[in-house]
Amino acid sequence: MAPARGLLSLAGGAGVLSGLLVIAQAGLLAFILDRAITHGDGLSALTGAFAWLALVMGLRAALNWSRETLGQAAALSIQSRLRDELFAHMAALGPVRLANRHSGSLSSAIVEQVEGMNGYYARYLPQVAVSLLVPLGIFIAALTQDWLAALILLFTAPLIPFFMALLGMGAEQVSRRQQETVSRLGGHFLDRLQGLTTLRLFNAQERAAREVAEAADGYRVTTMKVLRVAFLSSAVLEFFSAVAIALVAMYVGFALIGYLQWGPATQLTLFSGLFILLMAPDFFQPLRQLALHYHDRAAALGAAQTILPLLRQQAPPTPTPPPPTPSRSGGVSIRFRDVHVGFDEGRRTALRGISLDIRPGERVALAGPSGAGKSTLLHLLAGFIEPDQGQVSVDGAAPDPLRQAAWVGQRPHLFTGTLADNIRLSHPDADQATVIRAATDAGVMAFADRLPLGLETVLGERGRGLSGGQAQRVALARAALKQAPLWLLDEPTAGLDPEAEALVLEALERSATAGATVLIASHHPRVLAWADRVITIQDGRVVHDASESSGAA
Amino acid sequence: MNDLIPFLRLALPRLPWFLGGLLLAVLTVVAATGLLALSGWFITASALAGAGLIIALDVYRPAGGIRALAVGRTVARYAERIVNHEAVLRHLADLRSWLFRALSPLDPGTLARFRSADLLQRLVGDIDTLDGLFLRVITPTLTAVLTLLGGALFFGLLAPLTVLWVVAVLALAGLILPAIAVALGGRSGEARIQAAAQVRERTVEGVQGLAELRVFGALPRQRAALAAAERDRAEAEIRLVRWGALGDTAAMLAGLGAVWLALWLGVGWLSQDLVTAPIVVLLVLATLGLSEAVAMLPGAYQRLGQIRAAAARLLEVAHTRPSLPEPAHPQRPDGEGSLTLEGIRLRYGNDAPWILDGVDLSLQPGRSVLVTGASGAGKTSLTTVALRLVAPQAGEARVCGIPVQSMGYTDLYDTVGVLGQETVLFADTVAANLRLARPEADEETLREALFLAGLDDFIAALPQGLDTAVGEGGALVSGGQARRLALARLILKDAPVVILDEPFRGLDPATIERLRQRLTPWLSRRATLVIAHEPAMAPPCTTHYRLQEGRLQEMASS
Repeated sequence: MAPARGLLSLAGGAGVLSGLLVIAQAGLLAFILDRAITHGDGLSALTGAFAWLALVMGLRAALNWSRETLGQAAALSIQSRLRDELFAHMAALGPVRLANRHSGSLSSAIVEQVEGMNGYYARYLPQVAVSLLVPLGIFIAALTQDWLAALILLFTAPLIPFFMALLGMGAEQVSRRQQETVSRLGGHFLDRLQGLTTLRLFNAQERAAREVAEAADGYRVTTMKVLRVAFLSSAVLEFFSAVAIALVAMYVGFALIGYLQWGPATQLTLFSGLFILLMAPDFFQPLRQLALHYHDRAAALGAAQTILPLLRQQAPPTPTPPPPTPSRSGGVSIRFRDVHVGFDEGRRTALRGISLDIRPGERVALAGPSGAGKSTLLHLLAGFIEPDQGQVSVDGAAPDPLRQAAWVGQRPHLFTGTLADNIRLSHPDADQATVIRAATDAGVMAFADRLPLGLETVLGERGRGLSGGQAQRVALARAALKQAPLWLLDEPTAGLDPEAEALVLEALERSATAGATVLIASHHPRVLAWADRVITIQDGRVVHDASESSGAA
Repeated sequence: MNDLIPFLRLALPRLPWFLGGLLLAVLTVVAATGLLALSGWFITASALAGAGLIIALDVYRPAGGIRALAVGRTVARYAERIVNHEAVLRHLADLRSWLFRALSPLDPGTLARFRSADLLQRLVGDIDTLDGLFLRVITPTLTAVLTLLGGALFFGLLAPLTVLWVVAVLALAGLILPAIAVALGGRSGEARIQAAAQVRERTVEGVQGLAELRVFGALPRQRAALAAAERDRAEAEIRLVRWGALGDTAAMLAGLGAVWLALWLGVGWLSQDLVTAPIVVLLVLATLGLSEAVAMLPGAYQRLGQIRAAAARLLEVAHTRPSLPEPAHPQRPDGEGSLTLEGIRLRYGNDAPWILDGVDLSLQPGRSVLVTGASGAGKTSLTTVALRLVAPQAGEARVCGIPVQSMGYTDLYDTVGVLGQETVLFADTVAANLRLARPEADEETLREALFLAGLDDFIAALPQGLDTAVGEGGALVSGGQARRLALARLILKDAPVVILDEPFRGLDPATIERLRQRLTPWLSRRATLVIAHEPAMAPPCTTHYRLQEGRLQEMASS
């Protein structure tokens, strides 16, 4: 953040200097007018003053440029950093803890909400210094001319912070709600976009379009609430600034005409009068700018309100990227001791007291009805969650999935890129032969060979263009390439036909012969027969545990 | 500019709002400029009256004018901003539903050209970007043009015609410099929008693929890719800001130059006695006021490149036509639901192998047909042909005796219900997901459908029952529960022709058994096509075919 802070101070400094030059500009304008009107000076007598005026104007412009670019540069560097940190934190939280948030709103936190902080750093913060120092300078300059006129400025100013604070508080709250709406809107739209074909098959697209229109209109209503308040605060400033100009004009006018015969009014000159009048708008200008940017601040605070709960959500220590350890042969042993896991702050229980020992190289099928807790058990070993109670250990230590595990989910995620890129996920520098071996084992070559570009075929989003079974086989190849001692498979053969399933099981066997420990959630008789041991889970408990060899354990 | 014209047309329904906003914007500038100018005039006239140079100065009318302008400026500014924002936000809401409606008739093949993260960026980000078109470009420009025209008229009445040079310099600041800035900043604006889309794509991918990224140690790479996209974005942004600031500064300089010029001319007229002193001060201060009104235009214009890029991306979607459009003269289906496929040949691409190579199939009410086959054998293609999501190269699919390409999509999907291979649920409640099929269904009906799908116990056990949220894509329920929820949704639809693609995928044997029993009476009234990789994974069917090498072979009924 240090370079960003430096940039911010420079931006503030340029703004202050440019603001103070207004005093010089007003003085020169008043001087020239006064000389021409009251002393009858012509252009030739005033050439020097005109030159000075041009110089001051040029300087103001240059400083203005510096302030804008420096402020933005600072904001951009802060945003980049925040995005990176947010992503890292989400990654540390993991997929299961984030499952109750829509990926659309999560990405919106990283993209839009961080974007929403731009104005705060680029404009609001530099303007704070300007709005403190410039009015003070103008007040002092006015004081040298006429203390009463200076007081008029002073007395209209103090009310401003008071009003701003009052309005700012409201604006923050509204803006917070606004941010929530934005992120919900993003989630809503993403959801409908991804399910467009389903909506169509149910003839529901018109209804969905109406819902989108409603959501968009709701967005307008909340945004207008924010804006009505935000604009009110600047209207207050606008009003005081207009009142100050009007009061100064009338005071100076009546004094000059000779209606006011007391105080400093008797000594007022046209020069002083014009000088103060010309400075009056700029006395308020910095504050008006600040008010304009005040909703930048409110927007940033609103964005922070959505980002902070995410950042505050406790993440376990981030697993460090694995050192390129040579893959080890043999499987791992696994031990569960009275493991409990709950969701939704304990309202739903997934596992209630699981105790298990799994030997190295054992192939374990997890059976049981859907929702019984099989996935949760795998999630524990994949490091996505920690037990609320009890202990899970792999080879006597906490699970280290990065080094130990290969994961094949129910719906594996395929990334933008080629088939080969997807298989290489764990080792991007794996050579072609290794990739081909993994792809052959998993039956990927069987369909990749028919594609014109083979493994170099670029996949559509989320593996579009591949059938469910093909995507699963890519996921298996990806797992095979990792050569992990622990395989975690969450219903990988669901939806596969017997041949493909056979291919998958062969791929699994090839890995298992290397001695890997395999945990596979599946109902399929074929999987159950292939496994050394079948553990049935129901309502978060082990209800049956049978080994091939011993019959029942 | 051509890309922006359709959006002007789309904004027409909001024209009264936009005109009101423009009127208020002009009033604001007039009041602000008038306040300063009249104040200067008043001070100078007072000074001259005090010195005895003007006799009988009416002070009350100018003073009243100053007060009126002070209040008027405040009110007009506030109202202007409210009205203009209201106008734009209404317009943006129109655009969002316009874009969504443009997307909804597209077939999956056409849709696949866009990534959903990219579509989201268009629906949210790009449309938001378009707010600048009116707020920052059109309304301020028209305001500047109108006030400068008014200013020229007013100045011309008060002073020698050389005064019009001042207005010309102001026009330079407000209108010509922006045009130059647009030319220079255009490309950065487009680059920025592309870079922003990259940031979003990397982010969405990173979030959705978190499980794989973590376990396979690819997180650092994804993070680096995101950071690289972010760097590109920041670079494009800073380029844009530099040009923008340059435009701002040039305009500020030109505006101040106009003030300088007005002063120079005024002093000259004064010494020649062409114009009175109060009028000179009035002109100088009015120029100062007008220069502030036009000085903000260039920076706003910088966004024009970005706005145009956003508009082009929106039009790309809006102009995408479905490859299988609605028939010109749709035929209405009647009679009982039936589905026949006749001589269907289908392949994806001209040199691809035939997926379906002469498939004939007939589904009649009360009959059910099971099709099994290897994965990739084209089982699911039967569904997409029947639903007219693809067009076969040869042969014809008919629903109720009418070729599907001669039937309106609404009628087709009212007649044929499908449980697709992929389970698609929406991030909404259980009830809302079910009501997708039948919005008016009461709770009783929902519960019946849930019973048939074997989910009654599960829903009854939930504390919030039907109002339980299912999460994104059904992430909060298990895969098997999601599958059965989708099945209940199909049941609720009550279509005469039903296609079940791997209906029992991911279910345990006990559940499958229960479903087979419950579904049989429901299916017996319909024409049913079941696709599965083995008979055990399907409800009992009257006929069984096996799909092999693109053809159906009848098997002994199981």
